[in-house]
Amino acid sequence: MDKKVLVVDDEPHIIKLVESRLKANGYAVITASNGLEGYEKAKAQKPDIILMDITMPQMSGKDALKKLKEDKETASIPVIMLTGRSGADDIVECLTKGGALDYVVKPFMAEDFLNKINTALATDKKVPEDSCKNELLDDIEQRVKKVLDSHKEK
Amino acid sequence: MAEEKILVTDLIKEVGNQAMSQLHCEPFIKWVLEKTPLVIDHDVSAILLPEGNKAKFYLWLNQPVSHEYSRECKLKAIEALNAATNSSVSEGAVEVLAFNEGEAPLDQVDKTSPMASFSAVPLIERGNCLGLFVISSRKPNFFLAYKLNMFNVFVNQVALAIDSLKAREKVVQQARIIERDSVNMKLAFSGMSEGLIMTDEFNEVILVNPRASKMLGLMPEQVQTISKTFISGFLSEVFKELANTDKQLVSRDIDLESPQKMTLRIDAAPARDSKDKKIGTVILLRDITLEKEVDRLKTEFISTVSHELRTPLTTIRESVSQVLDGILGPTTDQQREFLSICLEDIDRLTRIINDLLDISKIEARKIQLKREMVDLAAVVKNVGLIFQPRFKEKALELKTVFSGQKFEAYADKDKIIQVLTNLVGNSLKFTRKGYVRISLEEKQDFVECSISDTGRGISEEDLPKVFSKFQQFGRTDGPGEKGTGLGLSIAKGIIEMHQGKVWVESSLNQWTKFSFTLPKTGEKAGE
Repeated sequence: MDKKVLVVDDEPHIIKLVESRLKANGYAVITASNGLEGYEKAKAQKPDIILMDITMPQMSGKDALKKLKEDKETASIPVIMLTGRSGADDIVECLTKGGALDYVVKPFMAEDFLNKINTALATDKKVPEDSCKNELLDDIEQRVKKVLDSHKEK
Repeated sequence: MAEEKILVTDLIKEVGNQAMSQLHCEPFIKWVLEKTPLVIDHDVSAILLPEGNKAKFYLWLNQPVSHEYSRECKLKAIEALNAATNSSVSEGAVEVLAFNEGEAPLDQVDKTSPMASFSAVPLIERGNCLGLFVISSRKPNFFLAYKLNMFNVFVNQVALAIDSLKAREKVVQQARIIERDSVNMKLAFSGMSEGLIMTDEFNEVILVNPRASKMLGLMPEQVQTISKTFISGFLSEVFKELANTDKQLVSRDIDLESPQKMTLRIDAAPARDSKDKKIGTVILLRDITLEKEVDRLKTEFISTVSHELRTPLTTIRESVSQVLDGILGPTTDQQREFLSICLEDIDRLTRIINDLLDISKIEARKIQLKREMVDLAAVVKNVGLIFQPRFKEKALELKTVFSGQKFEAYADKDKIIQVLTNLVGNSLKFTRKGYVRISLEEKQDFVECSISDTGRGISEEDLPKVFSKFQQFGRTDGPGEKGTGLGLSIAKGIIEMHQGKVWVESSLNQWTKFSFTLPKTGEKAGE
């Protein structure tokens, strides 16, 4: 069965384009246009992975991320942030406190999120919850740096 | 006879006293001419004083005489003066000041007797001829020798007095000019829209204009105590810099909280005397609150607009890219070629927006430097490695030259990589043959890094504009990424945030050399 990706964004154009790209790469896609709808769809349809925008009406991506991680039913679904917010503060917040798996800055290349989804689903990597704290911090630091670096290269 | 002499001696003594009590020549001369009959009997006396090509003829009629008489007397005096001083004063250039003309009733005026005796004695003091003292009479051979001797003594005294009066006149005139200048200065100081503070060589405040008092919220009686609070506060750094460097101008921006919120720009410059010795400091205070606010709004605007542009850019790029990738069905070669052009320029637009965001952050000082000790040699080597393939592609050489022992600088490594990438990328873009050289040189307190190339160079008139935003000279239309026109100003901004200097030298069509410095330690870092 095709892996299911939930795309949460308030921009219909973005939804359409990401959906089209993902389908072309063999994924099943469900969509939501704000954080709250995203959380509800995630809870109801259990996608394999979520792509989440940050700035959205009703409920922001950060709040939705918090809700997803607090809910036992959805806590293990990996979330990749896909947003125009490129500040280091946002990236660090989502990747550490927020518990997002990765972060892609708009404007993005299709490969950016495709590669990340592929990797996440291939290794079936869940957010490590019981790993040693130091390792986790090192890991996060590396990931923040990677996101910032890849953003800079663009 | 003896009585007469005593009287004259007293009079001669009195000349000095009279001169002392006057500020100007004219009243003194009037007094002299009035008293002359006591020295020697005569009909008309006069003093002729030259002033450059002109002269003044002070006339005293001891007896009523005709106009022709006084004119003849004047002409003879001018003639004698020109002969004595080898000058050429004409009659027209002589102003006649008759002290008592018209005092005698017209019927008493002797209109027939011409001048028969005339004597002109030069007024000589310190070897200079100051003018002539003239006496005349209608009677021939009127002046007796012993009287003339007495008159000569009198004239000498008068010459001495006129000389000192002239000197005094000069001093008074200068004092007036100084007073006028000082009044003008005071008016200028108090009318200035800038605040002005002047200090002496010991950094004690000697002048505070009203605008400065207002800006700093000083009451008039507090102006004297300003030295302690103001100077020991935000000015101490400025004074230190002025004392330790040979800078002619030191500027600082400070944010005042009271008496009102205000950003002040302080421009301090050393005041020097005519021998170039420092005698104090002139400090100008300018309210730049509005400028700062406008600048902040501009930066905020750029930042917001850039962010807003990102989203549509994302969708445009992805749409084009999906068509190009054939996700939405087959495309022709020509369609793909045009879509590729689209993508290339979308990416360029993205770079411009990112650079704009960078520059607006630098200008808003929103970038926090993460400074540490950085080995610049390693950084240079790494940047070199990254660029190596692009140099190979263009068949250019990339050289690195290190002179010194240690190349550690207190800097933000990522930002320095960004600077080097911008500068090396710039050199690469404008060099067709030859090489690009990165050199590091260890100096006393800093490390100097230079990137030189054998490229197309920059003309002298363009050189000052190199670091300005959106300045691109001699753009090549060759392959490779097009620039954004912001790379060099970003590099400058980053280096200056590190308290470093950045500059460029070039020779058109021959070479270009960009250099920057980074401090070795963080002591001076004012973050």
